This record gives sequence, structure tokens and C-alpha cells, in this order.
Amino acid sequence: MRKKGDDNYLEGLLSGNDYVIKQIYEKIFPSVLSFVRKNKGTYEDAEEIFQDALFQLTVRVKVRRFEIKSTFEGYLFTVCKNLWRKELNNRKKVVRNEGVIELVQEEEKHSSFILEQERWELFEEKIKQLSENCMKLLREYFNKVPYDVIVEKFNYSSENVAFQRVFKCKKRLKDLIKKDSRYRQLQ
Amino acid sequence: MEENFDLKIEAYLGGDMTPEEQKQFEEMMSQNPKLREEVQLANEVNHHLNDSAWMVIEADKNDPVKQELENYVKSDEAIVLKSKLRQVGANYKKKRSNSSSIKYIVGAVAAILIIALISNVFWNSRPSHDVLYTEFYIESDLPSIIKRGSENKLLTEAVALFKSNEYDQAIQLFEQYERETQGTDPSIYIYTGFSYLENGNFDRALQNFDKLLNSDSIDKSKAFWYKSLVYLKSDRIEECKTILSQIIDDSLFNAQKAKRLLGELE
Repeated sequence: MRKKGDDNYLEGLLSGNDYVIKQIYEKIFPSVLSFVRKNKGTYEDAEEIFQDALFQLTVRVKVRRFEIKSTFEGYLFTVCKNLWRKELNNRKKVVRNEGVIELVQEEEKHSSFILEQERWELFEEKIKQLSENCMKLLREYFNKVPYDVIVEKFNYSSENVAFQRVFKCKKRLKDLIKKDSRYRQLQ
Repeated sequence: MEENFDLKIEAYLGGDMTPEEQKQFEEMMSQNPKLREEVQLANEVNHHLNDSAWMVIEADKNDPVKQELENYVKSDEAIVLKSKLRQVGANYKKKRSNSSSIKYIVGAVAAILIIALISNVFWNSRPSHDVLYTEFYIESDLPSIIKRGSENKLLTEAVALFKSNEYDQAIQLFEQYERETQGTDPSIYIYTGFSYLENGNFDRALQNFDKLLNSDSIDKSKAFWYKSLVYLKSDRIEECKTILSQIIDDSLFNAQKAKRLLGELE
């Protein structure tokens, strides 16, 4: 999966090499920008999450000895998507008035997200261990695809069968997660 | 039995219980840590699979991993990197807006010239960057470097020249002193930097403040403020704003002043 140039990106980033950071910007930022803009964000939003993602990557490598398993670009884009997911959820909460707007310290912002991202990666790894069918079914179901559509798409005989399948797949996923020792460590 | 529990958990998380059932279930949870864990995991899985949700984990503040992460985030090494990222971001943005607007430039240049001319003549109420620089640059922000009893003639002379605005000569002596002390006195970079700045040699000024930033001086974080002044005086306003925001966010030296200056620039 790793591409030529990925190590160069990571090393350049870690050593604070302006030229390499500029290259990373030119190559990857445009797709992050277009994703954020399509999802209710501005240029400034995209810029902030992009910089946070790069910064947090260095923190993870230095403190957690983290290694990128996919490509540099793929990793960065996924993290940006998640950072944006979190930000949008925060904004929703503020609108719904569920909590007073808390001033989160800069270091707390980064440490929380890094731990959440680690957990996210663990869950994602476990999902990939499910059967292809289970994986697709769960993703569709939890992204609000209605039962009747699922029944048709997956060729189930009834909505009840579909429900049973979702239930079983979810149980399998939970069992896989529970078996992994990292699950407890990350709590 | 277990499946029955799983069904209940789903009903609870999905909001499909009557208020009574819910109350009963919550009581059960309060007495059964294992059930609580199961609910927590099911909830996390739901959040994970839903593309528009995000599970916030309330980690204990004393958690050693969390603390280790936060200590690193607060370290000088991390602060320097963060500043670099912002700088590259600001340059990228500048370049991007330059290139995207190039097609309009030909037509716009004439208009801009006229507007600039008019506003210079008739509307000069905004303080220029040079005026702001003189307002925000205060010599007392410079640490005293002649303080250790052991007087160094070269240094005393250099500072005297600096104070009487003889920057060219001051630079020569400061740099001679730097060579003699082999970089063991990082505060010298501040004086050399400001001498260059006053002389209009902005690149050399920045170089000296970067040296300060990368030194182990107790004044190193002041370099951010000094650099913001270089950007201000050399009209690199986007870069100036970026660095000011960082000073404010990270509560570095002169954060209050940085806030005021940023306000003037916005």
C-alpha cells in the first residue's frame, strides 16, 4: 500500500522541513478543502483541521510510536474527515444547547482527538475482519438506509430476516472488539 | 439470556423503551458494571458505523497516556512545528489567491491604482503598518544583556551604538561578540535581529530571531513576538496575523499586545 515518497513526507514533516510541508499542502489539501466545503465548512475550517491533522500525526509518531498502515495521503484524508465529523457534531450540540460552550484547552483538544482516533482505527480494523456482506450491511443500516431497501438489495426474504442479520453482524463485531486487548487499554 | 440482553440494549439505545422500561433498565445498569460496559460498547459501535456521528471519549485527566500526549503538545518542539505549519499554510493561501485571481489582474490593476491613489489622498484614517510598528515596538521588551557584573567592553559598546541608532556599526560588534562567545549567549540574537530590522534587512532579522527560537534561551518564546514585528514592518501582514494568532492561542510573551495588534490589522 505504501507509496514512494510517503516516507519522505513523514520524515519531512517530523523534521519541520518547509519545502516538504509545502508539497504535502499542495498535494493533499485541495481534496480536504473540497470535502469540507461540500459538508458545510469554509476554507478556514479546512485549513484548521488540515493543520491539526498534520500536527497530531507528529504527536502520535513521537509519543505513541504510531506507524501509518495505509498511504500517507489516505491516512491524512481519513483523519481530516474524522476531525470534521467531530467538529460538526460539536456545532450541532451547541445549536441544540446541550452544553455550554466550553473553552477547550489546546492540548486537551489534541489529546482527546488522538485517543478517539486510535479507538476509531481499532474499530475499523475489526470491521474489516467481518465478512464482506456483514460489513456492507452494517454500514448501510447505520447510515439510515431503510429496511425495505436493504431487503431488496441484499435479497432477504423479509424485514425480520434483515433485522436478524444486522443484529448478528453487530454482535460479531462487538465480540471481535472485546477480544482485543487494546480495547481495554484505550478506555 | 444474552441475546435477550442485547435486544434490550438495542431498544434502550434506539429510544424504543417506555419511560418505565427505561427507568428499570437504568437501575439495572447502575447495579451491574458488566451491563454498563455492554451498553457503552454497543453505543460506540453505533456511533462508529454512522458516518455523521462521532464518539467523544471522556478520558480521565490523570490518564498517563493523555498526560504524555499533552506534555508533548506543550513542548517547545511542538510549538515550533505548529508555527511552521501555520506559516506554510499562510504562504499557500497567499499563493493560491494570487494564482486564482491572475486572470482578473489586468483589468483590476488600473482600478486598484486609482482607488489606492484616492484613498491615500482622501482617506488615510487607518494607521499604516509602519506607524503600528513604532507603536508596538518598545525597547523595554528587549532583555538587558549587560547584567552579569562581568562587563564586556565589546558588548557595552555595541549596546551603546544600538541605543544611539547606529545600527550598521552595532551589527558588526554584535556579530563579533557572537563569534567570540560562540553562540553561548543567545540573547545577542535579539539585538542583532533588531539592528537588522531597523536597517530594513528583514531576512537577516528573521534569521536571527529563528536562531533565538532554536536556542535554549529562557527568552526563546519571545522570538514569536519579535518575528511578528518583522512581518509587520515588512508589510507581510498575513504572516504577521498568523504568528499573532499563535501567540494568543498559546499565551506566549506579549499575548495581550498581540491581541491588540491583531485587532488593528483586521
